[in-house]
Amino acid sequence: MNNFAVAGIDGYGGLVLDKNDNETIIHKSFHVNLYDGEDNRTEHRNLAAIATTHRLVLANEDPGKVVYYEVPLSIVTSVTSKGRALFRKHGRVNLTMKGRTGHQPAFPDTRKDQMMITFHDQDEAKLADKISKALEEKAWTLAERTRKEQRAAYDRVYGIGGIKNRQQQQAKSGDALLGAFDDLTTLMKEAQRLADMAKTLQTQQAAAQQSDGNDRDKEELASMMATAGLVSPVTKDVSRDSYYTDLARQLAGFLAGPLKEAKGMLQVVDAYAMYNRARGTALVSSDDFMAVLRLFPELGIPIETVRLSSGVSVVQDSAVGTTALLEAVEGYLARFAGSMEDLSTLTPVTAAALAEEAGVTPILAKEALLLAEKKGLVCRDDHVGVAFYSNFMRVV
Amino acid sequence: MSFSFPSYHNLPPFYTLQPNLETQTKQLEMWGSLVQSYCRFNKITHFPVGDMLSNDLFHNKSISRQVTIDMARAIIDFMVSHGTAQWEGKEKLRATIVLRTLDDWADIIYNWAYRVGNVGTVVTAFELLESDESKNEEFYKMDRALFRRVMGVLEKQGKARLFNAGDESKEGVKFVEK
Repeated sequence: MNNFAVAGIDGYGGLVLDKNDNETIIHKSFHVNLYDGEDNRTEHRNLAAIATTHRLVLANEDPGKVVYYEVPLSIVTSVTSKGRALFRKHGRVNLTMKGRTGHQPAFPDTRKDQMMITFHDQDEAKLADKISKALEEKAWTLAERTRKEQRAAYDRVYGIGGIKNRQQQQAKSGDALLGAFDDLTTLMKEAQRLADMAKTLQTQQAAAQQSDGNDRDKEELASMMATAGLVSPVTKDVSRDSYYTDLARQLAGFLAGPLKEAKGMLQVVDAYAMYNRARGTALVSSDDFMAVLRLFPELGIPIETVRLSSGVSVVQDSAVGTTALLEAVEGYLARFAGSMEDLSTLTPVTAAALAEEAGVTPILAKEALLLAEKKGLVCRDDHVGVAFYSNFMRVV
Repeated sequence: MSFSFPSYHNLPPFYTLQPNLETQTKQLEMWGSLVQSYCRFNKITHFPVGDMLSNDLFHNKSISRQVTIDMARAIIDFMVSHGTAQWEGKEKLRATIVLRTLDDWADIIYNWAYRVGNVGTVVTAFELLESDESKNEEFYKMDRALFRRVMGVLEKQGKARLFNAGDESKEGVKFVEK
């Protein structure tokens, strides 16, 4: 009986079940008496015996005196039952345990790893049966087993490779923005060219304003610059302290439009390029850009930076999340990929086709398809490249 | 008449082992059923996995898709865990397909007995399994050891009694009305 611990009670005096592990009650017997070892009486009488998928709990349910004693099934090594007989007045269930629960013991140490409960209501066989089943099913190991099976299924297709290593690396750094700018060199060169051009325009505009030139020309120049988004960029010279905060607000304002058009999700590199292109002069460095993105949550700006499972970093409208991606896939499937009513009508969807139809970048389209695959909406055809079909293997 | 494949046999993803666990399990289940039906139709019990890859079961020429050897092994593994196949030896090169379970056979033979009016009479094993009248039946020329096991099932169900079991020339069955 040493293996019992006091179990947790909720605010209403009820037993606390482990919801994360799907613990459920599988049997309850009333009017049982507890015996230490094989047959030593104890003062614990008229208890309820509650068997769950994970534990055996003995309960005193007298109002005001409610207490639960539990032993986890993971340390139970055997359970037997005996019914009423000529020389046996009450049916009983005997339990053998090995090891301790790791919690504070509920009863004084009697050095016995066995216990018995006797039954008044003659349902000892049922309780023992339920406990035996629970011991077989080992529900407490389910999470671990499912994880193992998931891995095995995935490995069977892809095996362990550089992908896993890279993922581990990224997980270690914990930074969603790590590696987001790896391919930025080309973009930087482009941005620089545009910035130089814009600088020339600005100089011209400044000169034009000073001179008594044509008003219409000045207006035209000003409107050209506005179209290109070049409107009074916040620069470091203005104010060092509030630099990042002001920058954050300006960036958030700028991103609103492009985010809406891209269904709520943009790759970080794209957002960076767009923003600097619009600034023209005083380009923001990638370090500053990343710092500003990290500021958004603090400032209550509803734009989050997220690393997707493929390693791509995106800025996303908090309200939208990944729902938009899934909806884009569902929409495409419904309109273009055939109907499950007649399997011969099913056609494939590629990332390129989805990108064009949904108005997102090909990388995000691929991400959407991978997400849909995880949710069981689509299945893949790996032949030359990857294409996806409505998941007829779920419905059939 | 050739085996008629179900419509999903013409869809490319069916030939790619799916990475999603739930989808993959369903996929292997579908393949397992299909392999069993195909083998039943073509009376195949001996299944050399490598050779079967080029068979129209695993190789669909019309859509240019073929099951890989690894996937074929995964399919047979699934069937083994469901009792519809057995590996011969450790190397997973050849398998035996279980076409019918004992319960299936019991039902088939009892239904036959009912159909031809043999319930209530004694029939010798020879008449049942090897006579001309049984030529078109699925159990025609069934192996005797298997036959006795099937009769065991029918006896347990109270639908038959086996006589002179073990004596090839004399053993017989009486089917009982149930």
